[in-house]
Order: sequence, then C-alpha cells, then structure tokens
Amino acid sequence: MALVNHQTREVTFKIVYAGTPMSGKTTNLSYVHARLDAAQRGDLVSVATASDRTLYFDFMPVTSSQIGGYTTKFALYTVPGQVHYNATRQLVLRGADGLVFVADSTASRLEENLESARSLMRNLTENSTSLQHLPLVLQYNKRDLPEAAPRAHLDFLLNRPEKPFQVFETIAERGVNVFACLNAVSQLVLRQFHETLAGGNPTSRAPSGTPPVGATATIAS
Amino acid sequence: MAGPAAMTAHLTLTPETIRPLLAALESLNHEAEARRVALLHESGLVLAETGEDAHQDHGESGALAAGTFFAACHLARRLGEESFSGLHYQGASREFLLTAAGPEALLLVVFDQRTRPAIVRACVGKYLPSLEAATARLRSAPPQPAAPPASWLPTGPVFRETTPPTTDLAAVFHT
Repeated sequence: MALVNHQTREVTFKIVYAGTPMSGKTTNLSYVHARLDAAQRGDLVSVATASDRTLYFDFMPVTSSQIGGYTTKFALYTVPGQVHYNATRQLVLRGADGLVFVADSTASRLEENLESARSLMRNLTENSTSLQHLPLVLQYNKRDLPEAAPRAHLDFLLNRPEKPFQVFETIAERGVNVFACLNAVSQLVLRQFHETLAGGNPTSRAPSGTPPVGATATIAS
Repeated sequence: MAGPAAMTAHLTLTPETIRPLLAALESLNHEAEARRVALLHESGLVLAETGEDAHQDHGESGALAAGTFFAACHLARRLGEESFSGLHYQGASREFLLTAAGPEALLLVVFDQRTRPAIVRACVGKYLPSLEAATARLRSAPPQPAAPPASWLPTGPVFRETTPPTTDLAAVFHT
C-alpha cells in the first residue's frame, strides 16, 4: 500500500524481510544501515529480546534519490522468524508493497525454510493478499557455509512457481549481494506501482528478464 | 481493521485531502494542550502530524506506535476483551494516548503535565469523526498527480552501497 503525498512530493512504500528463524533478516538491515549514506536512512529500530532475537520487528526508513520528481521512501521491516510469533508476523506484513524471503542455506535447515515459506503464504492469505499482487524476491543466505545445500535443492523446495522468482545467493554478514537484493525488490515495487498508475497489468513479466510476480505465484509449492 | 481493498490500493495525500486532516489535528493539539498529534496508517506509515518534534523522525515513531497498538490489542483479546479501542501510557515526563481512528488508521497523541488524560480523551472524542471522514477521503483521491512524471521506474540502482561503512556496526541498534 503505497502512500502518495503530492503536497510534499513523496511516495512511501513498505518492504518486509520475512523468512526462516536466524536466517539473517536483521543482518540484512544492519548491513544496509552501515553501508547506506547517512543522509539516506534513519535509525535502525530493533524491538529485540535480551539475546538479540527479533521480538516484534526491525524497522529502518530509507530514502532513494528522486524518481519521477518525487522523493521515494521505503520503510524496511523484518518480521520475527520464530514459529510462535505468527500473529506478529501477520501484523507486520499488513500493507507491505514488497517482500524478501530470506532462506537459510544450511542443509539441516531446509525443512525450517519450507515451514517458514508455508507460514508466509498463510499469513498473506489471512491478510487477504497474495503473491499475485505482491512482488517477492528470494534470498538464499549463508552461501559461504561448508554445509550449505546446493542451490538446486533450495530452488526445488522454494522456487517452483510457473514463473520462478528472482533469487539472490547472499552472505549477509559480509554484505555479499545484500544491496543487489534490496535493489531488485525496490525496482519490482516501483515497477508494480508504475504499472498500477498506468492502468496496466501489474503481474506481467518484468523487463530485462526479471522474474515477475507470477500469476500462480507461490513459494514452497 | 483493513479489508482486502485496503491491502492493495494506494493512499493519496493531496493539498485538498491533507488540509482537513491537518486542520483537525492542529485543533486537537491546541485544545488538548498536547505536544504532538499524529495520524498513522495501520501499517505504521505517518499520514499527517503536527506539534513539536513533528517531522523530526523518519517514521520510526509511527512504526513503533502501530506495533504497540496491535500488540496491546492482541493481549487484550487474549485476556478476554471483546473490543480494544486504545492505550494510554503514563511516563515520568511524557504520556501518550493511542487510539483507533476508523477502519485503518491510528491516532497518536503525545502530551505532558500541562494537560490531563481526561481532557485529551475528550478532545480525541470530539475530533475523531472528522479525522475518520478525512481519512476515508484519502482512498477516493486518484494516486496519479495532476502532472504525472514520465516514469516511476529508476534508470539505475535505487540504492548504492558506500565504502567504508558509514557507522560502527556495534552501535547500530536503538532499542
């Protein structure tokens, strides 16, 4: 749900990082916070437990350069991955304009990735939305671990819709592909907004081979 | 709160739609002798605000206020409450009142010892109908500006990474 303010010439979007517990969602945001020009971002607010596990969400506002004469802002959120925070996840997903699903590449955690993806799909359904209307990119994190599963295994589990999602293999702790992933989801969100305003079909294929929000899109099929 | 339409449509603030919102917020702020009044979307986005320190943060307060509201709402339901209308926090120097303002908006009023919670509540009750009506009009405004830009599509990366890090990673978090 974009907020368009013609008075201040600003457009604000909401992007949510969801995914498997301890997969690196907060690490993504802290890396972006550390590597983004200070003028382009606010504080990284983290509602966490004493052991640094995300309790409610992490939040960071970021501002891009002007697009179409409007200052474009993104509110970046993470949701807690732990199973028992389902209600919290559902709330934070409200009004999201784009999603990043962060999966843990560790071979022993494939089942948890699958359950998290299914949980996300349930949350979206309960929020009366779906991936038909919501851009999503997949992030396979911790690719540097020796026990990382082959990408094909993760694709088989998480990325088998009619039109596959764009995937980023990341090492969030070192920032590998973190910005590429953020840029990809931001561009998909802007493209969907552009197409909505133009009265076009926001679910059509993105340019330059960018996988779109598929008509039958789902993860963890 | 929000239904399916609210999940996908855009909210549009134009000078015409924001004027009545700001007028109601400013009147509320003045009559209640509050410090700051903000109207938030349930997703945490700040729709409009007035008073001291308004526009000083970049949405952090809106995100935290929405989170606080819904966390308290769920707790109340678990305790058996059938409805939840708001939350009052009383701190040493500042207090705030968070209340629902229509089907998808929240109202945050920050105040101090200059006034009383009962006065703030009365003023909120007085201005809620006009705020709800003004918020509903945001849905009906067309998202396209009068002079639409050629394209909302960026020509390059939306965000660029700087090196070295702009902050000390250990000092990043503000809980």
